[in-house]
Amino acid sequence: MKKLFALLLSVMMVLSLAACSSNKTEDNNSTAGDNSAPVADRNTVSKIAVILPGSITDQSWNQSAYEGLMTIESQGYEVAYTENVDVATAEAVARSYAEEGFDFIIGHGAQYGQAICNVAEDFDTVNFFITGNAPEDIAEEDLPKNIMFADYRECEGAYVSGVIAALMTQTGVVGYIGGGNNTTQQSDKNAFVEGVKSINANVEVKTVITGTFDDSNLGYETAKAMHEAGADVILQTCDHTGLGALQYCSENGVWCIGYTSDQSALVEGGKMLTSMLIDIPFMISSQTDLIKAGNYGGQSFPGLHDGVVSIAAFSSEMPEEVATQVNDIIAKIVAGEIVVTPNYSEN
Amino acid sequence: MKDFFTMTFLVALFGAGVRMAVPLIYASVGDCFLEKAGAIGISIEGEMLFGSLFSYIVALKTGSLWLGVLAGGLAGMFVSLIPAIWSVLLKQDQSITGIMFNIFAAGFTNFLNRIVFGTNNANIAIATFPIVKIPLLSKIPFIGPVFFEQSLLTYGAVIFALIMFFVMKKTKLGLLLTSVGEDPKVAQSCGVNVYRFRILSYMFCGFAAGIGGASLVLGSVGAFSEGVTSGRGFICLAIVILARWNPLVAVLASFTFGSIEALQIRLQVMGSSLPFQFFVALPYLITIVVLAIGGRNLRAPKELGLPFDKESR
Amino acid sequence: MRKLLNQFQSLESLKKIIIIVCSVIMAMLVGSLLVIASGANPMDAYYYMILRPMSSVSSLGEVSMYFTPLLLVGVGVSFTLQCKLTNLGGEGQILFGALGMTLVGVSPLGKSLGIFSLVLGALLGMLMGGLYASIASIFKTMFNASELVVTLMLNYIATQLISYIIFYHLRAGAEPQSAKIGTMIPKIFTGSRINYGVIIALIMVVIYAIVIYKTKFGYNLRVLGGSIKASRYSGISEKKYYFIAMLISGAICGLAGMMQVAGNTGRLMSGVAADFGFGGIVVALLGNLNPIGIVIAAFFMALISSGAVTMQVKTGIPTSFASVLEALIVLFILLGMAISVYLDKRKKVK
Repeated sequence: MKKLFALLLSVMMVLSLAACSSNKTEDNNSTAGDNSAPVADRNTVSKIAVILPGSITDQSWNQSAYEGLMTIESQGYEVAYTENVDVATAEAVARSYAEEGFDFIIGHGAQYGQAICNVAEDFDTVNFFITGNAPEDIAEEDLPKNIMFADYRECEGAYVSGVIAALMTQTGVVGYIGGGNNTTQQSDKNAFVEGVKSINANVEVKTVITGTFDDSNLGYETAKAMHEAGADVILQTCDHTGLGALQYCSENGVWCIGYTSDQSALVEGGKMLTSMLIDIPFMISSQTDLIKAGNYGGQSFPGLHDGVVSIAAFSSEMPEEVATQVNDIIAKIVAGEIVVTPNYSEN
Repeated sequence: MKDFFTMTFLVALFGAGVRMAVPLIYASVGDCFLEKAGAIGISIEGEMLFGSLFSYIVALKTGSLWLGVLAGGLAGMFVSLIPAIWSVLLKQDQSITGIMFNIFAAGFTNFLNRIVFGTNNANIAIATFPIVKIPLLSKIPFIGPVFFEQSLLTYGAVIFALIMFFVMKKTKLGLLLTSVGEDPKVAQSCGVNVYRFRILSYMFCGFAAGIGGASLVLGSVGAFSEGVTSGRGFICLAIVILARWNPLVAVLASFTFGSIEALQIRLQVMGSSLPFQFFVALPYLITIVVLAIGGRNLRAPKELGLPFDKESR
Repeated sequence: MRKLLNQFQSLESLKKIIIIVCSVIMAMLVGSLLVIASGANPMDAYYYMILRPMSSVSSLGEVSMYFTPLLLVGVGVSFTLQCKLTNLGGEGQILFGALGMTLVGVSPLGKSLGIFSLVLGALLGMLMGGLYASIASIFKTMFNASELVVTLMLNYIATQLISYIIFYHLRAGAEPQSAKIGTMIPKIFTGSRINYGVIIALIMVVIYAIVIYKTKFGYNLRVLGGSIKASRYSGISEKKYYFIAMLISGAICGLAGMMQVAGNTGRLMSGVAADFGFGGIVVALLGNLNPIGIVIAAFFMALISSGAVTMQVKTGIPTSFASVLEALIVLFILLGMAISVYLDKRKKVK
């Protein structure tokens, strides 16, 4: 037993020794002017990294961010990304990027808020961006100044989708398929319901949260179950799961609305009425301009008005008068006559 | 709730239950065989993933769904050699090799997917297996539309389970299988090459799991997406135990699982006020309850999960 | 298990160590084919994966963020593996431990306690993790239900339950996550994320060693697991030992969860378990349930997991690649161990 304990102790000692000795080498590095040392001025941007919660082939949330990054790369920036990052490893990934000299780091999801806040405090010359809300229990003045939180009003797109669904439905039943429990999904769902009810309070809205963004078979079956329950317009906002739902709609001629990118190619016969688009490339590239303008940080809520959220070209299946009415409502949201408040509370 | 017990609702519900059961049936019947031979198929999740990817690639490039199914099976069989060699020949722990293999499979299928289709693939959906109505049988009220208006993959799954049931219960191979799982040393002394037998069992299970994976892609969705199995391989482990290593009961257990999943979607569609988390957890809750009710007389193959070493005493 | 233990002891001879080193090199050679295929330089990739994490105190701190939970879960599941129970429910138990810590940490009571809230949180977390795990042992002893499947199912249920709790009850603000807990585990050095959780985890290893090798309880556990051939087998109440082993196992996994919240994320959110429940099993088995083996295995796994992040960041190799490489390395180490056992046997025969 003694032997064991001695061995353990020695392991610990070796560990701490290694830690101490390497501490020195790190000091040497920084005095020698390692090229990864952070730049003093935070109004510049050259290396951009994105931390993604899912896979870049999901044709949706993550893929659009990836494509945004590729746009940026073509503008001459150095870029990098990490996929499938869970909340427990987000801080490690963000730190690695900061240490490797990336000067603009994007956490693509509000769940990374806390981790990014922790890192931002230690790297005050690096700019950060969170696609989502700031953690609400941190007072605004306590938030690190080098983070921009942009909770774009995706719900405005969902509201418009609801309007379209209510105008198009012939059965009086429409459906929404969501992926899981995050704020964007919740506000999308509530805004969709709100949009439907604003046109016709008698239209019934079926909602399903599948609990997963990866299970296309489940999405297929969910769309089928909705169709059987009478739904004839379906909005999906759940990445891979949603692809299955679209496949069902394509096979069975059910009207549907795509998500994040223009997904009309995935559905045959023009059954995809439109897609609610999130222009993430635009959003990210507009950040680089903001950084260069100085005083980067704070919170913003871009939406239809700012072009970050938009509605794709309508399908030929949509009658002229419906299209006019929808465009009218979009114009009202842009003008601020209709205000869609994100509602995160209800299930 | 009033439309709950209408005929159309129930037909739709159980029809969906059958469709969602198909991948589970293939993989769990394969796992029944493997576990009877004394090894736990933790690796079937990974084998299913390989099966789905390769079936999609081949079906897309050749245009033949059947070649796709075959490719899925062969891919599953081929990669199952990794857990087979490590746990049988190298006598390493089945859990650790299984877990590591699954990690490998998840990463490697993503990688291959991107090599073949790039990151910006429009995931071209292929035509899936059509519904084949069985004459006469499909006319039976309720039973007909639920069980006899399905795709050939579904009928194949049941026939596969039937064949395996007879092989395992009525043939010499089945006897051999039981002896290898129950007492490999005796089997070895009777002239059975236990190593070879177990490796072949792994390959067979891999083949079945690969077809299960293929049915995920070619059954309804018609496209591969990364991580498409979503933990179904682990569900199969539960199914096999619920079924007490009996392929026919495994069909029933898979069907139950599929139906519960179909039910939870429909309960949400009907606008239940319960939180959605409850519905997502429902299949797992029910599994535990069923295990509790049905577990009393449960007896696993004696040497299940243990490596066999012919030199040890 | 004795065979496994012997296997580990036999590694102590230089020859065996060489074999292990060779197998790691083999894994890296195979891996470099993949690295080259993805258009990166293998030498760079391995430098960032293995050497870079040890090169500075801050990156060692990152390694510790993996090391602590892996080590704790490794120790936790070792208790059950000693008596041949497989606890695949680490994920769920971590989540419950995290919940326990959060309940204390966000409460007014916890906030007033300062640093002691961590002690209270750890105790509640361990209690909750332990009780959650004992569902499996109760089902095992009462209904003869396979603990393998029950613990696996309990993971899925815990995930949804935690999702429900952070959605409806502990939610702070819009995002479904709890408020930030009042006190975090203090850091050992400034400029590094390494915190005192590491020390606690290492102490748990010592306790594990004492319990398993020096107490009647540990002896009986090993008898049940078959690693000791004992004549008095019939005198041991299987049910009691299964129950206690699972309770301890769940409690230690719960402690890992507590540290995920109090040492890493600061909040309860879905995803705090981060697959450490499965990683811990690999650690326990790779370390052959031997205390020192577990520490080494946990450090090695933490090193390559943390290194994989750096490698991915630095070379742009896809994340999926990093996981393939991790799996390959572990598989090749197992191969090396098998070869060394084989050589050992052949020598004995001669």
